[in-house]
Amino acid sequence: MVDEKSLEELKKKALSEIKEAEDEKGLEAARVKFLGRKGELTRILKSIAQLPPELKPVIGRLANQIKKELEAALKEAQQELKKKKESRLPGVDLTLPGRPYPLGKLHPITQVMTELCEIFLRMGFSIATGPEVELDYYNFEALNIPPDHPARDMQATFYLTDKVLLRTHTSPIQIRTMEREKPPLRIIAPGKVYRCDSDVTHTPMFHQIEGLMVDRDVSFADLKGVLSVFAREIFGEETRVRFRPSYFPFTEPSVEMDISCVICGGEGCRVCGQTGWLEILGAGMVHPNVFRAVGYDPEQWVGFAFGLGVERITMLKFGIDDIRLFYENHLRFLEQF
Amino acid sequence: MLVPYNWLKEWVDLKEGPEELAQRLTLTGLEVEGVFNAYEDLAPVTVVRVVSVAPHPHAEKLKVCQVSDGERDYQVVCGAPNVREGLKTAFAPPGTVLFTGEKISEAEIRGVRSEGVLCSPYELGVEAKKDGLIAFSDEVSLGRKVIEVLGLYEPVLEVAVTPNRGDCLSIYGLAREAAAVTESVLRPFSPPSLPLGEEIFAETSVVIEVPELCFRYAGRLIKGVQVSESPFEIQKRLWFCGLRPINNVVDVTNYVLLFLGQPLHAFDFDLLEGRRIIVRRARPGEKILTLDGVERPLDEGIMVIADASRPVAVAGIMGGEETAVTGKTKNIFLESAWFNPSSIRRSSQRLKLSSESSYRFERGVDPEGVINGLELAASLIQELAGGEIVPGRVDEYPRPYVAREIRLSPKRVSLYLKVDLPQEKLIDLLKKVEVKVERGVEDLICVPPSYRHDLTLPEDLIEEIARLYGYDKLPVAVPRAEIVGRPPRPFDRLLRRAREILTALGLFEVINYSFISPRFVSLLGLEDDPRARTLSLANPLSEEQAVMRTTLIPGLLQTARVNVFREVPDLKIFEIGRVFWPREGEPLPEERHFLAGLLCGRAHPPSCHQRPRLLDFYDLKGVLESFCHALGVRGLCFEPGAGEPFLLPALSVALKAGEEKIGFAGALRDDVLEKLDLSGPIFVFELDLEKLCHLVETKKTYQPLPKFPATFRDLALVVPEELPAGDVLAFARELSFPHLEDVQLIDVYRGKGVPAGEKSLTLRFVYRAKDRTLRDEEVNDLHQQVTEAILSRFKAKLR
Repeated sequence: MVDEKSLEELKKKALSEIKEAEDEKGLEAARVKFLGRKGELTRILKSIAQLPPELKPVIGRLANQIKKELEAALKEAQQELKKKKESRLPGVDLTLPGRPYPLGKLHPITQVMTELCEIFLRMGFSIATGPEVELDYYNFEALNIPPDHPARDMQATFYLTDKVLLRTHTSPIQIRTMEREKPPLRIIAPGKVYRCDSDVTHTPMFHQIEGLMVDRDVSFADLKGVLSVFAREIFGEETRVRFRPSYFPFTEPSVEMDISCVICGGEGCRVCGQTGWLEILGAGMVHPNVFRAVGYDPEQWVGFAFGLGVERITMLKFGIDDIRLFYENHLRFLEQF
Repeated sequence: MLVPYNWLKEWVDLKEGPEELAQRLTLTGLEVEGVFNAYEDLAPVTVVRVVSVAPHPHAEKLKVCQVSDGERDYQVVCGAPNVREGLKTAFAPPGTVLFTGEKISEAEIRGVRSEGVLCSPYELGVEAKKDGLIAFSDEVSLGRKVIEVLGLYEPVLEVAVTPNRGDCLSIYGLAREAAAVTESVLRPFSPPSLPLGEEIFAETSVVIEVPELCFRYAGRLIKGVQVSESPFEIQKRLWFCGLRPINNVVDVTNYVLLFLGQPLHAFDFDLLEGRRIIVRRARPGEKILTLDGVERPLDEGIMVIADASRPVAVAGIMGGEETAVTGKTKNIFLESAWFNPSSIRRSSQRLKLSSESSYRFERGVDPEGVINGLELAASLIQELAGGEIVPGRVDEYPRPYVAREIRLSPKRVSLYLKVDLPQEKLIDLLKKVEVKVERGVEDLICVPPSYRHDLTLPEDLIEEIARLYGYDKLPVAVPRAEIVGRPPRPFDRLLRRAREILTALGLFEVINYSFISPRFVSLLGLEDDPRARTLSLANPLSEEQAVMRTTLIPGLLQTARVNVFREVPDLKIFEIGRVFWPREGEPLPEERHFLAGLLCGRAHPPSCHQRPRLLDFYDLKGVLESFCHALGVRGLCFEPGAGEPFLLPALSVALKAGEEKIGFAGALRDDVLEKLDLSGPIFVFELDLEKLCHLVETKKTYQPLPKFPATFRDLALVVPEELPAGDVLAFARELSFPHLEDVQLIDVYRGKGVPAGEKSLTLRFVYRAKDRTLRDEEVNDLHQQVTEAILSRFKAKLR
């Protein structure tokens, strides 16, 4: 005889079996057991008709309510199971490292050189090139450094013959470009240069970027402007610059640009020798003798030129303390950049 | 140049301290590299107590002492009369450089070890007292630095004088500069007045045979001098400036050189043959023993000071040993001259000999200062060494100094500096550096002082104005100009793309030196190869960097060694750089951009997902194929056998465009690996990028996407082992049948089902019509024809 108590017990049993079902199959078994055509609850529902009339409505309502509850529980359990199944695949361990797709990297000098060039390209400069094995004429004489000039001591030179050498700076490209092209001009010339020096701060080969702008109305103010913009772009907006008089035979006036120390911000540290400033590049207004050497009229044209060392800037950017690391090409070094 | 601050201050009333002055000089164009204590060399010297004194076993006058600095004991051999147990004195450990110039090192002194020296007051630069050790009172604690205990401090500025400012290579010159850039006043210097007259001409004569090399030569005769040691104060000044005291006469010449920048030379007059001076070129075959003790052959390119029969000095560079002032010297001929800077530099370079004198002559000495130097030195010699100055002086001046006039247009100043300074201001600034200025109609007529050789053009004066006004005060602008920017050249773009692609393929970029060891020729077996012809450096730093590279391979092999020997055995690297090929009859070589790479070790980094395997030839080929594909290279073939003496013929290919070889790729031979101490396989490749550039397809045309589906048919062939699969694939791809779109080689198989000595190739054919879906029968029919074409061309069977 069906009564309320046995119905409640049936519900309890069914809910617990639904809850305990571990997979779809178990769940289906529970469904069939209670709600299937021959299921326990189905049977009760079918037998309601035979109940005494006073019990019919009570039992009938209760049985139908339990059926709904069971159906809801089944649905929820199904969703639960589905979620569980999707969340984990056999043999998959998401904490394993990925399959390597190793990329290479560009040499830090190339990276910084590209970055430097891009700054000047944005300012309307174009790239020029020239030979690394160069004539004495282009490397020195045309740049207002005659054969017996003491300024030759400033650059220890590798010679191949009396007249042929490894360029000691990228400045000969100024001459070659001006010989070939008419003003106005705005060029940068990145490249390798050579000097016979080797220690913690010198390698016999290094990289420079030369810049040259020639026009009818270019002034010292423009030189300061272009180089200040450059310094802030490469070292950050907060960088301060300072211009000091200096001497290069191919510029007059000549200038050296310092930036506020990138390590200490100008407070004074070991890197800047406690001065708060770092020497970063040399520049100046093109010397009239240089214009004469290439057949530009110095009364008509004015220009400024600059040259910067890529290694030094790279070392400052990354805090590298030994320049020779660049040319050892140890992978442990190269992969850091 | 080393500049003692206090010496400078005697001539200019500086308000700035040493550091402030250094800052000011730096900001106005003379970079001061540092301010340091002249006594810094003595910093290692400490206070010690003599613990015990024992006689030296082999030397009567020496003692063996144990001394203690409170931390540890040292054994020192000492000959000082006042050494005694309990004495507190100064101990200089090895490495110290004393006032005398002596550098201390650990030594065996007559069989007894000495770990340093005990110092006299003289050795510490305190006073002239040489005999006996310095003694400290009992209160001084052990181990303290002696320079601190004695308060030894003399600030010295290290000034990096640029080559154009020869006028700043002296104390007085720097005082003048300091006065110009600060608000200080320079104390005028005037030479002492010495007896003039004709007497000197009765004793000697000077002839300048080369007025184009020697513009001025002056001299004085001082008789009856007593050569001895200089007063301690003079010695100290020389020492502060980095010079060593020698004797009173030589010290005076050095003192005046430091003070006025005028090089001087003193001859022992009695040793000058014929007692006269001739300034001339050296004659072929002449030699001179210079003061540094080296005998030097001379030639006509070198100017000398000669007596009646032989050179007695290399003009402007160094005196001769034979006529040098010594303790025996009684009479002195003192030289003060002005030599042509280029001539001095040439001689100095030719002889590989330079000196304080030549350094200054090269950079330009004041032609009007020659007499000042002479007179000051003569009077100082007389003061310190006694004797009589013979009345009168020699002053041969064949090329008198002519002041330059520079016309400076104020307009040009404002064009250059973008600042409008009134004429008064310009004149005022120029006057600070003693440029005389007069107003012309439009221009300023400027006459620079005789010591400023660097001021010859209006632009030079603009720089003076700019630096005295202050670079930082000048305006800043951004240039206005026509747009002259140009697009990057195709080759530059190729270089950039090549780098991007290779890094994306997992290769690291390296940069090697452009110079390599000439041994690469034998290493790579290139004796009979054009690449063995290299350019050699005349002055390489080492044999390892003596010739310009003609191939990038040696540099990459060097990089491989550096890495493999230091724990990086797996390498995928490339380099893009120039090679240098000498050209017949041309001074400059041909410079070509090459790309080279090297692969060795494991194909992948260690990983739980992949079994480790070594790189093989197909990795190399795959990298190159992907590289070419990404770059858009068309028509590059891989031909078996690179023909490179350092590569295995069986495992290398030539990279060819038609008949032209543009590179190679392959595995290094075992004998090459052995010479490098490396183990294989190591794969390398090299490409001529300038040739490759021509193969890059720049124009690309769009192909419409297929509208109808493709049909695939596979063909399995059994062919002889010797038949290259590439030949079959290439033939199949060349077939021109309608609707045959593509052919792929999808399998190469040897083993069960395939007879020994043969292999099975599976080709996949793709058929597609542009305008419809192909019917099966159609495709079967086509595929039949294709199969027959292949079977009739190759010795192949169907599998």
